[in-house]
Amino acid sequence: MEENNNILGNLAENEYKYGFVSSIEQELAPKGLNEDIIRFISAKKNEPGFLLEWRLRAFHHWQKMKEPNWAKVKYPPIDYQDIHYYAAPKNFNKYKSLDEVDPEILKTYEKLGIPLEEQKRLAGVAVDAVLDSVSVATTFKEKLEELGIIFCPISEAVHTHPELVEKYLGSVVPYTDNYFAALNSAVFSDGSFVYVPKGVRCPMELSTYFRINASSTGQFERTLIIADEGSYVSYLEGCTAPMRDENQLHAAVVELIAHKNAEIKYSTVQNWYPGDKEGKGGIYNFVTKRGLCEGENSKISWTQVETGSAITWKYPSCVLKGDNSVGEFYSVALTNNFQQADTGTKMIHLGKNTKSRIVSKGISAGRSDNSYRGLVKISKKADGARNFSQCDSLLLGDKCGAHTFPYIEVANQTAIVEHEATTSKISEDIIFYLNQRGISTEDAVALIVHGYAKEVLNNLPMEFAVEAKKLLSVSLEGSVG
Amino acid sequence: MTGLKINTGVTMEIKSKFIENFANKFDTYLKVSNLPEEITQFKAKAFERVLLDQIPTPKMEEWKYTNLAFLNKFNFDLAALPTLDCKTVDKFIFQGLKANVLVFNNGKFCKEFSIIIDEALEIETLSQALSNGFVGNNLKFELVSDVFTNLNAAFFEDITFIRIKKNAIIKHPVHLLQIFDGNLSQTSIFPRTYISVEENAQAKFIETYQKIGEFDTLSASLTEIKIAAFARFDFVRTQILPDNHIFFGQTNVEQNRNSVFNDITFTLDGKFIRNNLNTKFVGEYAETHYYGFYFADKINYIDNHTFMDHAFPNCFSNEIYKGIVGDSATAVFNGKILVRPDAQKTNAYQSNKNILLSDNATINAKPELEIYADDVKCSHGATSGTLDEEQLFYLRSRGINYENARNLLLAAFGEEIIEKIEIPQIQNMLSELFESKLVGKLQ
Repeated sequence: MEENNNILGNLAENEYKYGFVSSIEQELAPKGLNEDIIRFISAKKNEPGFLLEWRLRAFHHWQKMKEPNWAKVKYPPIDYQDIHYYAAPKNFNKYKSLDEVDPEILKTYEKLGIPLEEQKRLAGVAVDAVLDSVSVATTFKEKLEELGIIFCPISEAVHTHPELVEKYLGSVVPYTDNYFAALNSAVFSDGSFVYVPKGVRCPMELSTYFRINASSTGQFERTLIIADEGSYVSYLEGCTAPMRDENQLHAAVVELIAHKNAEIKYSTVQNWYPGDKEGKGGIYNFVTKRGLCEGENSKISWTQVETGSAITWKYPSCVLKGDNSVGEFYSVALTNNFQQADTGTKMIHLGKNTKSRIVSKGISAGRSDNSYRGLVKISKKADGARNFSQCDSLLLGDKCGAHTFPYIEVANQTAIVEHEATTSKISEDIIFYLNQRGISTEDAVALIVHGYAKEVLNNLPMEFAVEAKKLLSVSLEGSVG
Repeated sequence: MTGLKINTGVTMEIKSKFIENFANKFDTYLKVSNLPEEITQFKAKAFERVLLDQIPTPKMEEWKYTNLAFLNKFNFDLAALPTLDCKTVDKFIFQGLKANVLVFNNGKFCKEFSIIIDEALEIETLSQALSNGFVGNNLKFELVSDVFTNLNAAFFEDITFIRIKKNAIIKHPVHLLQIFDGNLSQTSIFPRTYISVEENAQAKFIETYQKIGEFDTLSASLTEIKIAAFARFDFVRTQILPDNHIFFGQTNVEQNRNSVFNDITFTLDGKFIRNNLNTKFVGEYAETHYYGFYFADKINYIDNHTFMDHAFPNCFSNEIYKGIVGDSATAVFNGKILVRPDAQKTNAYQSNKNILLSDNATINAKPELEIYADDVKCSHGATSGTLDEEQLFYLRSRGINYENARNLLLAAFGEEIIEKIEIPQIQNMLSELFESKLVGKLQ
């Protein structure tokens, strides 16, 4: 109950508490997308030749592609020439210590509750903070270096570990993969790079915090995580943006590679600005996330709590190539007001005895549309593959929609695939039961939603789980009654 | 390929030989068909749409798992003179079942071979239905998004109207016997049937398909069923087709308040079968059951698309499709449930279970829920797997050999659907056919 009171307290706060704008001087590239902009971004980052060539190849490929329209989302056409593809805090140089960081930036992250400062060391999370297009600070670097773990902005990794970047960049999500992946490959500005060497268990959660600050900008970050043989890493990602009337584009690419016996756990709490009650503004979140279980017995686990963004369009996927590899997907997607979400996963079973598990919980409120779209593909050689999927949808209010589009493709007789989905509203009996015990309807709904999402939230690291619970409550505000 | 000008004045590029073949025949067909003006106009529009749409490709969501390029190797004629005789028809009639038998040769109703014993059953051809105003009052010709239904619209020779009058209960089952004649040449057949079950009426229909002749045939049928308030309609379709027939079947059902519709689609054999089954509720408290069973083997392709449109509140739908896929066969199940805004208190359930028997067999399942109302209970489930080792072992440890044990388990799997058929003779017959299929003796 005590926690419940906290939730109510939070409910009383403003609806999107991350909607502030920081007055940091920005350096912007001119609007528009052409070869010059790509050369400009590449030059800004002082990138090696192979990367510029790769970007240009991606750009030329992108020019030939058409924007996809199969998802169950509607939005006015995006003018790709009306976006700044590069925005960075001015006078930006890589800081040696946090003391040198612009106090405005630190304040921004303080408001967001991100433990950038040294005294927050006790929180035990190593953070890489990305503001608009560039990484501003990475903490705990030395400690990680002792273990041989590389955790740095990808722009830095390009210089310090070009061989790793060249080998793995685009190996899971090639620039030909889809429209937004091609766009990202051409213009990505920064993101996180993680390499965990053989047999190392990363002792702390690695975390990146993404923040869009400047207006009329797009954010195109790229994350690359490589877990070498027998290693383990847990990675967290959080994101927020200011409240603006315009729609801003976020097209990220995340690539995970797990070698033999390695495990990667990737958690996201996505809270980009969802737009206001009339559906004005908000982030278009078009993200490609894919993990490759390259080696035997490897494991990749995606956990996501999606509460933000005007439009979410993402399918964190696992390619289960190594024998006995495991893929997991746990998702809570909550949409309110005019939000639209088309999200789910793909589990591609290639190796023998590969296993996958999908648990997706959708909650729709207001006038929102929430779709689960997932693919389970068992290839001919995936003997003994096993999949279980469960996709539940909860409807709060009669103006919203909840949809399920699972694709099940099985080409191996020894595979066992199970899929189940349900859609319903919260039963009046349960609400009545709780009302009877003195719990208000709003509290009762929060309680039931938490219970409903628990299976997914339990998979989040603890600090994140608390945050995610609060987010769910805040996002639900005004949807009851 | 060639740009072709048809009488609508629009020039369109034709990309496939399959469509080109029909385009070459269309103008002549329309001239000699001697149909009333309104029908001719509708046909011209329908064909214009066919030219616009072309044959679907796997890039289209509705045809994601289907490659229709094979259609281009055929050169279909339109249905010519019938070669049917009494002896042939007799072979295809259920022995020991007292039933009304409606015989269709290449989609055209053959009164001379048909047996009608229930008086409340009224059958009319298109010209009759036009002259007595039934078409104008009850039926509107509309184009749809499905290209084969539009192809049917362009080339149907006749429409058979079957009416079950108000309050009538048809005592004996009605057997629709569709005969596809490939005796003369490669033939395309476009059966079009309109079944109207009027208020408070009841009937049980069973449709079977028979192929005669050696030439390849293609059928693209449309069956429209209107079930009025408080009426009940049972529809059993058994599909056992030879390798030289290509089957596209579209069934559109409209159900008014408090009506009940049971559909059982039982597919045992067929090289290429595509069934589209759609139900739309146009009144409250209606109830629908879809049961389906498919057994795909050899290199067969069996595709079932179902669509349940809950456009009104308080309706109930339940769907069970089960399938066995062996050899190098592919089966597709795509079941969609749509609950429209304000269709509150909807209960909709769907389940699809598959057994794969070989490493080259493929099942593609896509159960969909699209829901816009909150006070609903909807669920779907889909599974795929092989026979349970433990169950096999249990039987084998009791002295049953592998073959028999396997067949016993598969028979039990299919029996769930067969037992939904409420005509005992048909139930027994299908059980026997299914079992002979299991031991490889299906003719």
